[in-house]
Amino acid sequence: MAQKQQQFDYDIIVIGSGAGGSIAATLAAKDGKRVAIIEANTFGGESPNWGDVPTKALLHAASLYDEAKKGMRFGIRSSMLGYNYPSLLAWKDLAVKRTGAGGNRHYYEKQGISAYHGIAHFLSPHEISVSRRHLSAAKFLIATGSHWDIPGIIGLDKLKYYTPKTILSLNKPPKSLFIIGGSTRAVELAQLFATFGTKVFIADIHDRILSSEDEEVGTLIAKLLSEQKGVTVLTGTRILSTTKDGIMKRVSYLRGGVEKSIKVDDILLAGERVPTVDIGLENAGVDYSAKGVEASNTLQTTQRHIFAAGDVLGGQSYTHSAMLEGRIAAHNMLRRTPIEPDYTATPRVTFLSPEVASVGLNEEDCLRRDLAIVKSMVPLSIVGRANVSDCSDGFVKLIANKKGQLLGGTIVAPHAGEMIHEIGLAIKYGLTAKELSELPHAFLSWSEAVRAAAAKLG
Amino acid sequence: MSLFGQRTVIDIVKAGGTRPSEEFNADKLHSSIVAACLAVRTPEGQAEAIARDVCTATMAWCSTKPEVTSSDLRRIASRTLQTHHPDAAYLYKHHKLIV
Amino acid sequence: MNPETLLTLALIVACGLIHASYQLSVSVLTLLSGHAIGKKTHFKRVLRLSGSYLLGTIIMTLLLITSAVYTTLHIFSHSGIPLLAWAIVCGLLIGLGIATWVFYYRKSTGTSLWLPRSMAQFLTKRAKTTRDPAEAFSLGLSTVIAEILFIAGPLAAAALLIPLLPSTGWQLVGILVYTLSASLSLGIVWILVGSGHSLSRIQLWREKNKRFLQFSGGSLLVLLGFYLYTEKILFAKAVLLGGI
Repeated sequence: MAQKQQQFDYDIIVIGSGAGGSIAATLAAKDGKRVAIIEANTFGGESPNWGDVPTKALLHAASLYDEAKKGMRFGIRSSMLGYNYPSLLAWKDLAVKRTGAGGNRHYYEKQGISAYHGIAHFLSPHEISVSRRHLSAAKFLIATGSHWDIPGIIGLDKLKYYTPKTILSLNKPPKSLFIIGGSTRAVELAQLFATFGTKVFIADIHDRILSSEDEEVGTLIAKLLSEQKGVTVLTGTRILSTTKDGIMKRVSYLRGGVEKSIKVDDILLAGERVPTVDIGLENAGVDYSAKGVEASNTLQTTQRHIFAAGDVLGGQSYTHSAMLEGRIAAHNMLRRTPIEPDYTATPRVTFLSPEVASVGLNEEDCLRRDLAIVKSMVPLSIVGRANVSDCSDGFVKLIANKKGQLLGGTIVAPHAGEMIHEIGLAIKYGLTAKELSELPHAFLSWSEAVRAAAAKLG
Repeated sequence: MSLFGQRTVIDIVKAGGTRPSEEFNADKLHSSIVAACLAVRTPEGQAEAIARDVCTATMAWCSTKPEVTSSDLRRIASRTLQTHHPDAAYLYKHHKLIV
Repeated sequence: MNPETLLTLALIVACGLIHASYQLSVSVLTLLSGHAIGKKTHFKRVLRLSGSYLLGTIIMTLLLITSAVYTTLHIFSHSGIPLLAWAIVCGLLIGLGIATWVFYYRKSTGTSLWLPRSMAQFLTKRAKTTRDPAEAFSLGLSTVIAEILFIAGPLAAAALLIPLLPSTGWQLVGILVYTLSASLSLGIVWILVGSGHSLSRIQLWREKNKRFLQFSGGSLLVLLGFYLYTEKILFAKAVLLGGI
């Protein structure tokens, strides 16, 4: 008996046009499939519109301004130095526009992908509703990403507050800013606004900021922010309440058993991110929790025809991870033999001054897994570049197993985001510290510190 | 105009995909929540107050979505009801799963 | 009362308890009470409705067991109950026991039963719209019929056991005992509802213990089947062959 073929509007519908969804949609369209992409906010997703691209564009400008201010020690006069914030924002908007993907649905339509703007909501396993229009597909990719969690702090619902998504639209930096959360983005924004004269307070419940990195990172960055930027770092702090105090806001917190309060102009919530899962997944029969959509190693959900990629999985929240997962999900939707994403050498970068970058396992990960490790740490001051750049704040830390094979690495240095890939490559291909140290590293490059750390282990 | 003094244009796709969709009626939801609370012997005034809160929260959720299913409504309503009256929430959530 | 009579009565009670372990009537009673209370029905009226429902189930159970016993007596009055009849009933008991283990409850949450969904929706709708004690009574009658597939086992076993009782009076006692024990779970729930217990607590208890009830119901059926097979078939054969 011939099976009745169900007619669908599309072969694949991708929900979310961020890093994960865009790549998958493009690959599927190139493969000749009928593809649709749905976006609830701005096409391109968070990264090019309010996330990585605008933040790093502003951070670059801030870094230039900061370096210029310190030019006196090199004989550079900077008494007339200043900034124009609207021009900085214009620069940011230019950077966003130049990505091509930011806010641009034609980018998808040019590739033969039908682009729909609206909130997607599953009505059944093969059907979604987008602005009251019903679309059906043989397969779906959920790439709805994540959003900033609004904590249930008393009084917060009565105040105006910002998130990293909305704070970049301010037309001038606030006089004072209280940042709740010590995440990567929180620390980046703390440095950004502090550079432009804002009095910044940053509070986190953990005993250090950047708590996902090694202890030395959090300690050093807190010290640098405090000494060089005048940022008040409040670790081990629980926010009790927020209230209006005239035209300003009062934030009350508990730290070390003592209750205090601070008056600020603005509040920024930059703590945790939560996966965006409120899209009717129950109607589709897809299992999920508050931590994200449940998916197998091949990114397949509990429904065989529905896949997921990116932040919605609740794992690593990086654009490059989402891109990797988007590629893998597209492959698994289009090909018979599924493959799994390999996160071994996925770098984690915080774009500060100096930058923070890590890859592989950190020390706490190794302790949790009960691994027998050896580690080495070298300060940046030992390499010649620190001398000629007059910058010695930072270090390189490497972790290896007893056989000398590299397991993880952390770098705090200018251009750490570039340097880390060498260590990532070594981890991915099981190289030992000795092998890494035998590679010639250019004199006066920051990477000499990596060689030194590897030599210390080898 | 509903009990809640506003016209909320949200389409409800009925269970089993029955067409056509119908417009969301907050009064209907209100009555079913009241009935669930009364079924577990909640005083009438309390039942009405709980139903009002549940409907307000459900309508706030619905306002972000132009079209939802009746299962979605039931799920969101029972999630909110759970915080007010767990016993009534259980009955509301499971009354179609008793037989 | 001789030991054989006592044993037969005990077996009849066991059949009745197996019948009581099937939950369709209880589910419908829960729905009926819930909807009635939810519609702000006066408490006495709720009791009348649920009481009528209970009476309906008791009457139908009584009707079914009486008919079954009468049929058995009519067919086998002269020759006694043949081994074939026992064998069929034992097979039915064991088969239904296994069926109970496997699919009495659906896999979803709640206490959804094996019933076709259209029938379940019909019963749910009827429970929701029942306003009259007469309607409730007929709902009780139809609920017992709806579950006949599973209660056929204990009914058939009781129908063969009751005629073994020594006199008509004892047979009537047997019928009454079966009916009362089959209505035990329903009666307990009716009393709980009447005494003001929360329906959700009752339903929550049923959901938490549904697997236990399913397992025990199925196991009792299987055990009863094996017992009757051993007692009525193997032992009888041994007596025939070996003169024990």
